[in-house]
Amino acid sequence: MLENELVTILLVEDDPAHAEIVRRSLKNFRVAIRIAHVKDGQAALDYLFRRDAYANPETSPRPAIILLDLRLPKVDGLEVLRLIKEDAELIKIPALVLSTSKAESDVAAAYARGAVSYLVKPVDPRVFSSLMEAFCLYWLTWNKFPASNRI
Amino acid sequence: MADKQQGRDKSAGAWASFGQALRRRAEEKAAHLPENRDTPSPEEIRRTFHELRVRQIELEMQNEELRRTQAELAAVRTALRKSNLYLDSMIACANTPVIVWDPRFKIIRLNRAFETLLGRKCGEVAGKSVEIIFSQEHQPEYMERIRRMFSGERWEALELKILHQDGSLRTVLWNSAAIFEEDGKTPLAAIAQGLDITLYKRKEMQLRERNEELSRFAYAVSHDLKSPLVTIKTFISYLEEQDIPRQDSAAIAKDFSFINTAADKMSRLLDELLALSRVEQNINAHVEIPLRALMEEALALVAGRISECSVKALIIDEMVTLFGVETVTLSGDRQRLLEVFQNLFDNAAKFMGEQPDPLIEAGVDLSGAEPVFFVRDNGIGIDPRHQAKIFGLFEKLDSVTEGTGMGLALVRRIIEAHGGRIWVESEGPGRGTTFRFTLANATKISGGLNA
Repeated sequence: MLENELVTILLVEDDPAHAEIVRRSLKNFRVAIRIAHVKDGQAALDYLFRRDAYANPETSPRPAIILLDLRLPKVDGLEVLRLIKEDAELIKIPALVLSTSKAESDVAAAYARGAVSYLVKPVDPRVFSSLMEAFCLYWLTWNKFPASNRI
Repeated sequence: MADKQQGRDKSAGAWASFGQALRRRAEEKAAHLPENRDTPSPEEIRRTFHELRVRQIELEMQNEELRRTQAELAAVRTALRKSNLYLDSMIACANTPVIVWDPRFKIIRLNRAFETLLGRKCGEVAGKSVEIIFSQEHQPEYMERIRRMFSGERWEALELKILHQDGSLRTVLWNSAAIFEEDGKTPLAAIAQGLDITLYKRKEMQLRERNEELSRFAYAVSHDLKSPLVTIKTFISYLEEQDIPRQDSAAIAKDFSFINTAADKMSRLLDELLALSRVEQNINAHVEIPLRALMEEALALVAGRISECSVKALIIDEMVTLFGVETVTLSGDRQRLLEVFQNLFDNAAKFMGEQPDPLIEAGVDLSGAEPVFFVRDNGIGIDPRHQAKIFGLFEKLDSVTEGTGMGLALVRRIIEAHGGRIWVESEGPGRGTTFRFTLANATKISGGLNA
């Protein structure tokens, strides 16, 4: 459990509306969360590998968890997964897929590349909201992260 | 039948005159023999006479035997000629390419189908090494296979690529075997017979591409269409349950804007999916359109965005002037060809970035073997890492810019439907982008060099 600590979530989502939905859903929960939002796979990699605009660890802290869409511009989500799971440090950050795709090929490919969970964006807003609630409870309240995920 | 009879009579006649000539030579020889002066006894005469008669009978029998053998030989010769003719025309007329080479790998013969496959006449290649039918890249590997054939290896449905005169490669399935002297070791020749599967291969690849597109299509329906639906439903619930009851006008405006954007995106997706599915189904009648007029019309269609971004658009006539060509005319589906230029112009204007002097240039390059059309800009460019992605269905490189990721997929489809291909050149971010494409089945040039 994390006590009063600011948890950073890296949200990789190209659709601004969906990013807003995630942001609004998370705002309803008590946990102190900082959302770092990037809009494509390349930016996600730049953020995680601290390149270019994301070089400063102060403003681009290592996320405790990654929420990743699959269909992303430039570098797609599966490729992002593959690259971060090849890195000895980044592999410690749990990566969750949050996608509209129910395709079995996507689900299998995501797990094969090291995703810890696969969540399908529900069309029903109530279900979306309870999904985000469950996510917060499990991942941000109960789950224990390694200390390095907060550096 | 009459011919055959005549042939036999003729050879019988020849046989008789050969007999007479032999007789003459025998008499000449006898004349030179020393004369026997002793008078032979009646007993000796009787014996000699008997001996001579037996000899004569023997000779006649031998003659008869020879005559029979000769007739048999003639029959064999006829049969051989028939069988040769049969094989020859079978090879010559066969639909499948056939080639024969000798133990030193020199081409002995090839049939008409092979001439077509090669784009060369038998006379041009006969006597040359068989390696000339392969591309340089394949020669080492293929010649090794050919060498092994003379040590008894047979080919069964072996896939080898043949180099056509025009530089293209044809994929051919080969069956072949070497033939040997009676000793079974000394090679006489090798004969190979092929099946040109280039077309099947191409169709197979197209089919595979279409299948991939189809699965992307299904994916799009489950993802790209569902995605705006999630947005619309969620923001409606925000309006109903939170923002309207709280009378939070800023949030309400934001919610509506998200809903609007999502609805627009859905409608655009549906339109473009429809357009894409129509490219092949619904090719309009082919008409002739001057290239310049088409490009001008396409520019007019994107005039809004072009003036909005204060882009300068130029249609380049240089190439046309340089090569003294009067007009380049396109012949094809007018609406679709217009869409090609419209999409490329729109794309160029859309990805101008912060360029202070935005410029789009379009034209046709006639310096190569075939006319290459281009639309070039000095905008944001494309990272070489992402260039392969851009023609795929629903691929978007930029999440900010509006669009469905279908424009370039549509452009490629139309160009391919007109026998052409499209590719992109960009040195990277900030270095501008050039789209180049050919329209093999749709380009006509009049005047100038090609007149």
